[in-house]
Amino acid sequence: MNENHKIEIEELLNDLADDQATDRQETEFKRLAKHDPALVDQLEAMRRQKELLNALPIESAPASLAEEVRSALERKLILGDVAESERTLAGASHLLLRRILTIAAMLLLPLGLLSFVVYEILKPALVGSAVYVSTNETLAQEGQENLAAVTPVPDRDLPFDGILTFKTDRQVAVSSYVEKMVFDQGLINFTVPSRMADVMTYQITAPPEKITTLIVSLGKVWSHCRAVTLSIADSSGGNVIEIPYVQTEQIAVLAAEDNREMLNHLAGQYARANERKDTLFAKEEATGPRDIGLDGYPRLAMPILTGNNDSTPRAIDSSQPTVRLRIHIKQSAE
Amino acid sequence: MSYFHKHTDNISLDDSTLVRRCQRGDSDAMSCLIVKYQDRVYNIILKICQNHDDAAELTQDTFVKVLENISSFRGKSSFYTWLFRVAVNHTLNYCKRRFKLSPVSLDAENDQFEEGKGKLAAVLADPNGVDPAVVAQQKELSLIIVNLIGQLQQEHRVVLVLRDIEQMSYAEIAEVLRIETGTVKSRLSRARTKLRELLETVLT
Repeated sequence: MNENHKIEIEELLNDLADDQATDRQETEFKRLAKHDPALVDQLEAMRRQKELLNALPIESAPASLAEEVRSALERKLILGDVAESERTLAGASHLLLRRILTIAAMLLLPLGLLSFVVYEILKPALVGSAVYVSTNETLAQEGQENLAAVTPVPDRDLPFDGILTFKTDRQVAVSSYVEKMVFDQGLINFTVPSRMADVMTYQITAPPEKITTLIVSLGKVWSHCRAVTLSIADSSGGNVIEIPYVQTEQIAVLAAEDNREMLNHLAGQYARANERKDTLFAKEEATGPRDIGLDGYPRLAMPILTGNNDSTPRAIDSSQPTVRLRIHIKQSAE
Repeated sequence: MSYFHKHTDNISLDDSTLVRRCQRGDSDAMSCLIVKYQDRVYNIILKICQNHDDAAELTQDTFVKVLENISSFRGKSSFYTWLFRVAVNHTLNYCKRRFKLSPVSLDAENDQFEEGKGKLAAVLADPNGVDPAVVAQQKELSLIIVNLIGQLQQEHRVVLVLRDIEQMSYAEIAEVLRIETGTVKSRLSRARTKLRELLETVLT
């Protein structure tokens, strides 16, 4: 029996032992067994060997196997998720966005707080629709309206702002007369007197008609002055228009003028005309009425301390436009 | 009581149902599959690698691999053959890499082994003698057989284990090992012949 035949017989026995043999194989085995009865024993030994292996005791898997498998799966799942989220573009983008937002928040929050603090420190006290209350209004609310003239309202609707300068040899008498007229015209509360060196000054802020009335009442002063000059700042504010030998009517017109350009124009005309009428003015002064007392001083009416028929100064409506006139009384040089 | 043990009632469910549940992330179904096959997989691996600790670790790795890739299982083969293919391949790769089988020397066995040899010889020689199933349940005899199996060539050993211990059909073995059925038959024949020779050598 050669090696190949031996292998064929063994494979035939295996098929028979495993019940996988075909009819042809079973017939072949019977034929072979007739010639070699040991093959039957060999087949039986193979079947018993197979049963022996099949009957080997089943070893139980470790009791913790299932639990360990579950733990290993969970461990891999967690680690796998983390790794994947770090690898994927979406995960990386999400992380990048979160980091940018975090940095932005860290920068903007302190900046916002700092800005708020700086704003609180630097913001203006009054902004927007804050209401300015004039001194007059404030004082009126306090029941002290009469004191309003002490601090004249700086803003005037009319452009007239002049300095009327009297140069006289009788400074004291003229000053007293001016004071009396101021008092008589009810402007005492709207006048701020002051004295600087040899100049006596009365700053009057009042409606133009009041100024006109005052100027007219001061008509007698002209005849006792060597010079009467009205100085007005022109519209540019830089130059001063000086009107020599100015007359009461001219002052009244200028004080009532509500147009600055016209005011300057008129002032210029008066200045040029008065220059030319220098002689005329001097003549009028020489021939004009004089009301000079025995002491050689102008006859100045006595002050009315308790007032006359119109002793109570009329309150000036704060809504009226005002002008400012400063009366300077200077001692003329000998 | 382990978390998995309470799910053993579902083991009666067929594999395809359990696999579909696993693919949907049903952890109970995963537990059922593990409980259902863990002993069989463990025994096959143990007979191949001949070491309890390695067998336990390889069995665990096998189930982890299978359940980790359960979503890619398309059902072209049965879950059973897929599971055993993973187990066998993983075990064979492990054996190739990590160690060479070092069968226990029979000379080192004690008196019980000598007594066992006598019983084993009687089983194989006398067709009307002791029931092989009874003999196989004796620990000392089963040790001899397992050791002898370990002395077979790896490719023969695997086929013998899958056929005579796991009771797979030729077709299933061919599918697990991805070889032809004829190759299975020839390897099985040689494995049995060699084992018989080893037994005769030991028993004489």
